[in-house]
Amino acid sequence: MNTSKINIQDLKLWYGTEQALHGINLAIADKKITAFIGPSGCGKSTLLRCMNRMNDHISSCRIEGEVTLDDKNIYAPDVDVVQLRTHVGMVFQKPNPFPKSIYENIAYAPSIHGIAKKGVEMDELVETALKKASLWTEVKDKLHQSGTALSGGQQQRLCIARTIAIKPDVILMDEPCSALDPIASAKIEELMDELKSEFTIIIVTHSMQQAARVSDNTAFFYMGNLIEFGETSSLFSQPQQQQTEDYITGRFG
Amino acid sequence: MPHTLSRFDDELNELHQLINTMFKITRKNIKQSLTSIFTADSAMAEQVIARDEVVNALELKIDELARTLIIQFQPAASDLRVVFSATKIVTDLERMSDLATQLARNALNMDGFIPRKSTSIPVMRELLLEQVKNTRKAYIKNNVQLAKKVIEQDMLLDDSYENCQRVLLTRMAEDPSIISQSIALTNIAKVIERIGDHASNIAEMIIYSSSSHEVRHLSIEELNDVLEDEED
Repeated sequence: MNTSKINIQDLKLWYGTEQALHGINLAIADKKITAFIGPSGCGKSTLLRCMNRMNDHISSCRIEGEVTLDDKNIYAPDVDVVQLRTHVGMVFQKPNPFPKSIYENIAYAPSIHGIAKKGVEMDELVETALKKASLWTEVKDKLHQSGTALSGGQQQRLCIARTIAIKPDVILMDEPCSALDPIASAKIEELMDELKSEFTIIIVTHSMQQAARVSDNTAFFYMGNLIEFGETSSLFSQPQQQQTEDYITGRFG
Repeated sequence: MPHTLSRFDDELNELHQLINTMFKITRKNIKQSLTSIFTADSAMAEQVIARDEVVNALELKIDELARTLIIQFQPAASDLRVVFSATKIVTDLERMSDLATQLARNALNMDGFIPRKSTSIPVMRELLLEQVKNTRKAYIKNNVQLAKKVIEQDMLLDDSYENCQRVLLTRMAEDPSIISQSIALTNIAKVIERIGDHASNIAEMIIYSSSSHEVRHLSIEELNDVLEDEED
């Protein structure tokens, strides 16, 4: 049995008067890939954003319940959100490299957080991050060219490299392949498989085939409720809840 | 609830219809091959042999449709079980029809000899026809209990086959002049027993498709336990 990295207990979330999450309880296994699936508006991205407090930026958002990372409540008053995000990195739907060089994209956060000094140490960190993101061989001769000049798939891997450069424990991925072609998506999936030996990964995806391929565990959400959570292979072959069955077999709505 | 993509339902329905047709023809082939043996009806035996081509063509058509369904719709959960079991069921049906053809060929080579009630073969015939009828019914109705009955009937058929073999061996020992006829009867009994095995395989796939329980290679006691848990 794998230990859990993140524990979500009775999590409720409101945007203004509208409740988006209804008492979610979920344990995210350490160094595994967990997929969140469900129709649009089911709360999966909202829940993902609770894990590095991205919802703090929304003034109408109110949260009850607990999210613990390594048994520490990330919503406790003494938690430094900037520090939290060094432990819980995020990759977004659309690749969003800084309008800077490939090298600077990776080196920016580690230099701010004092993770590496400029020079050889930073060079090594940039190289390691790019290698882990399976991008090194493609960009090693053009590290000082703009990150935005790369292809969409390369930009997304650059964003993953940027995320892992600050050595997080958890990587949140919000539909990381939805803007990519099938080959670029396959490279991201391959990369995720390699990264899970070091990181706990949570991915929100609309592609059930992707969830079935890449994840160890899958959670199905509907209308702000967690309907079913379990091993991916079981959930996609023998779902226990009728709503899950209807969703994954395309009988919804 | 229907699929959001209605074409997915259309294709699944077509799959069911084709398998049902394959069941119908295979059952007819089995029935008529046995009749041709018991009535020395060579014309009927020839018809069975000719119809096997239709079953072969249906097997290929269903396999192709299953491949298309997988490529186009990536079925999951119960849909995946339906498509997966369909490909297994048609393989067994095709083998059953092949064996019926073998019986029909036996009928053509019996030189007018007709098996009498003194062996278990007439009993085996009745058991098999009932078993095959129930297999088709279980498939059409997606009925787990009826599928279980098919598996139980196969055990009766196996017992009957053993009994038949024993009787024929004794007779051959007692009267060497009937050895060649008795060998022919042993072959017929063996083919009937094998058709029953394929019906039993299909029943296991019906249970898997409908309940998600993998019951292949289970004893009857284990099968009962699995299905009782389901009822609880």
